[in-house]
Amino acid sequence: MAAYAEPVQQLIDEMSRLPGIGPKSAQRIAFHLLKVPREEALRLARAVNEAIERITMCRTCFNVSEGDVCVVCSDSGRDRTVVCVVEDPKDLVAIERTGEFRGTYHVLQGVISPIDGIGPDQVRARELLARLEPEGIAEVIVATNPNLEGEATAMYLARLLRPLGVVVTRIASGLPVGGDLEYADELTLGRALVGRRELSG
Amino acid sequence: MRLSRLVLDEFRNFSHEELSPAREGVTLLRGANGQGKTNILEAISVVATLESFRGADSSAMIRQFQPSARIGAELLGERDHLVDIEVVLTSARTRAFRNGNLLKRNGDIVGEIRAVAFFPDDLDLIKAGPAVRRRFLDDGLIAISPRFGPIRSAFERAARQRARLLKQVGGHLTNDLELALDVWDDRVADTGSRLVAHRENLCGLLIEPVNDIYQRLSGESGTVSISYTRSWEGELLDALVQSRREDVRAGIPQLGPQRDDLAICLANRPARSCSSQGEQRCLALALRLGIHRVASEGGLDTVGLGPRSDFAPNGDPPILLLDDVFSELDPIRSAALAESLPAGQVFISAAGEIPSSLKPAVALTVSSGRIDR
Ligand SMILES: [Zn+2]
Repeated sequence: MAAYAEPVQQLIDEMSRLPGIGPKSAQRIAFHLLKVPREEALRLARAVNEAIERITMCRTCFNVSEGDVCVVCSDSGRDRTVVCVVEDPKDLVAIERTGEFRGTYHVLQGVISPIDGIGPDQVRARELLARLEPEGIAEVIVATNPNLEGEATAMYLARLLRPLGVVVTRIASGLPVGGDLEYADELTLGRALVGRRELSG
Repeated sequence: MRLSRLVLDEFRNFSHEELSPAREGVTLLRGANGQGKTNILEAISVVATLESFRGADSSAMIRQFQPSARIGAELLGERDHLVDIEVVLTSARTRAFRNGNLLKRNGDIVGEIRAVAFFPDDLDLIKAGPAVRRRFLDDGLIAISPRFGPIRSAFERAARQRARLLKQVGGHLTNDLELALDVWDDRVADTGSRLVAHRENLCGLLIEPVNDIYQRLSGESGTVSISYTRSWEGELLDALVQSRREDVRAGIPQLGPQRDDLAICLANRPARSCSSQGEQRCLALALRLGIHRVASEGGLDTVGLGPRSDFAPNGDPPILLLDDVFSELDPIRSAALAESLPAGQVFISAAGEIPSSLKPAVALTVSSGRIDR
């Protein structure tokens, strides 16, 4: 079997490491990049580079950020007493798009899932705990996905935070069970947010 | 929906074969053992549930030296409405197509047709451990309504999460762990209680048909009792909380729906220990036929899975798959079975003698991976 030149093989290998890209797609993308005008391919390389170099994590909410503090946290017009907890930055964007939320966020960077070796210490639960008092947080809205791990994480947070006198709410059902927040339309997600209920149990 | 055509490409020992079964009544598959009769029944079970009734994984169903296998099924509904189902198996994954469109979730074809299978290993329903009987109930519920599928997988995932947590903690119960276990106990109890409610309802629904069928097949009047045996008492959540210390110490869950059993008795004696081999075979067959009858007659509201019209608008009974059933029964019981087969499409494989009262609508011969009329 004839092998590809080393740099080509390397490009294919890196591509196939990306989520949702199998070996065949990796090959297709690699050869596409080698075929398009040089400038176009380099634009992608630069965009990757820029993003990696300039984007870090917000030290308060763990959203992606172009500095120590993200755009949401640095916006003085936001309501600091309400925090919406999401699994990842994509979900934060989905909730921003509804236009229904004026509080701040907390990005867990995952959900609790022993099968995947993710416990409470691997998600940013303790960091949320530490924000409560200094920021004067009165309500925590848990907007994890409506699947098994999302519900378990919501309940975990409720049990962790309630003893500290914070109201913990959950976005309303109505989102398809097992569905993904980021794919819900703005209207549905907006309604789920407005119709949130206090978590019991 | 009725199965009007089945096409097998590189499936098991078939390179390319197709068959058109009887729309109603028996399609008989004859041929010596090892020629591929069971494989045809298996292919139908895959179209119905995306799983082999033999529990084989997809790589086992692909013909040797081939990259993939394909099962095509033409389904005929009311007013000759046609649906084309295609299942493509590779060792890595299974993909399903409806009318040429790749389905986002494979589960979307489950329930287009339903199937109930009886195969020689079903003697295990009486003789083997509880896992076989739990699977019998769960497979039965899926044959009744595909809605049960997500209920079962929700429980299985929750139970796996909790079991993994127990394994990870190394025997020590800390405050942090108490909090994490609270959460998973709750999820397991929530999904597990639903699962068990459906299993218990099904047990109740099976008693009458299984007794009727058993008496018809065996000619005996012994009463069959079927009862679900929980591995805990009271509410599942309370039981999980109570066994927490023991669970953590042992590193594995001590109770729950994954440890339950189905107690089957004949004339008040456990079928496993007291019945003869012939009685046990007869009983296993009656259990499967009982599922078929419950699934044909509806009764789904009582299983709590919603109205029957939601998934079987044309009211067709599930396809009944009987693998090598006559070699398992003596001539008298075989004749009784042939005379009391249910309505709908029935596939029977037979290597040897068949009772003279069996009147197949279509008879096919299967020999070294070829199907002939
Ligand atoms: Zn921030």
